[in-house]
Amino acid sequence: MKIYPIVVLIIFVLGILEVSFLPVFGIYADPVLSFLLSLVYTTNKEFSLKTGFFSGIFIDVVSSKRFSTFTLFYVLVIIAAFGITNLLGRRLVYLLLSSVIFYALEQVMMGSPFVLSGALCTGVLTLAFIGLVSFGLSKSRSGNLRVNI
Amino acid sequence: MTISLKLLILSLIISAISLLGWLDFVKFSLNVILSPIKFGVYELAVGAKADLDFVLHIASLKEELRNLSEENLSLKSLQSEVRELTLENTALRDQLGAASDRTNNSMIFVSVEGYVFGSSGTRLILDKGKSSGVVSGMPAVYKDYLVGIVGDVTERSSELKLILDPDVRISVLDENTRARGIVKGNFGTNIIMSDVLNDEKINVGDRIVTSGENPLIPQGLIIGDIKSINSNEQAIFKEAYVRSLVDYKRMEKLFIVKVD
Repeated sequence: MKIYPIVVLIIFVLGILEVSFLPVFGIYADPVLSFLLSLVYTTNKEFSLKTGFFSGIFIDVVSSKRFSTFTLFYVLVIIAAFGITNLLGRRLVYLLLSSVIFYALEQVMMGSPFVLSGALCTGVLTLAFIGLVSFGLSKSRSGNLRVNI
Repeated sequence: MTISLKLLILSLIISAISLLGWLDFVKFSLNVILSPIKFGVYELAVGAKADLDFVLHIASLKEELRNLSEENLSLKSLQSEVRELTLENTALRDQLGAASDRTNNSMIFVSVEGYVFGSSGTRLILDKGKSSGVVSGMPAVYKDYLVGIVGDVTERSSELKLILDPDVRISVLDENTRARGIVKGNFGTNIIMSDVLNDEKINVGDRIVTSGENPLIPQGLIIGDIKSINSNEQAIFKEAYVRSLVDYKRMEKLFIVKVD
């Protein structure tokens, strides 16, 4: 079983959740951003960048913004996140702080009001995804999931 | 060339192609498949939220029911009064040969598909766009309540900025005192009526309606009621917090007003 169909499914579900489900309950986080940052922490640069690029394309399709807005944003976020980890070290705290900063930047880019609870929620989701992705990857290495990362 | 540079260049190329509008067709085509999924998930969320609210507020519902019964009685008496006034108004209009204010407006029926990605819940995605006659700046209403103003419009979808959005500015007036001001969203949390001259009178509980100064927004659409007033004797202007009676998180079907 290849990893890419699973990643595509996760991005699809997270994208739809952010657009049509979470805001109804007053949750204004960016789960896709959290998931991508968790990949920065747990996988390599090439895999994260490719996932970020294709996630951006998908979000550009579901969002009402001009095509390429999120493609470019997510690619830049992943490059910046790897820059931070290379510069300061691969520490969880830097990545969590980055998720809050990137969320704030996204709000500025969208011209939306910055909601602190949304930024914190994105941070918490990043933490949760890091745990889940690490667990998934460790399982895949012991099981039959083929992960070329 | 590194993978970072390759993907960055590719993103910039897509961005350039998108600027020329060549990717719009791809987006519309994919949205034909995705729109029903987004709409279905949104309806599911609204239903789940309503059920959750019901369970969480079951204790206060009894008291609310009692209050609503009392309100219903007073509304019934008001209804007969309104009926009389409507008849009188129609007769007067006939005599003066004037047309009704609302007859010039046509409505576009729209469904909400969800929230704009990354908008902190202040912008909705609507299922109609340019092809249905939706234009940026048009107001969206729910009954007689103004819900928001149309923002970016694509061929088959559009973005609705709710009154809560900080980008929205609407000229309004106090229905009772006729004091004028501007309504704007306050960081997506509530609505503020600002730029009200300090010597003009506004009261808590007064109804705030659109003033009709913007040619695209008809006069008399309800924004909400004044909840509290912030005033300082030295200041030129005062402001008030406005409570909307519309639950923006339950919006499913709306009308966009087209002023001819």
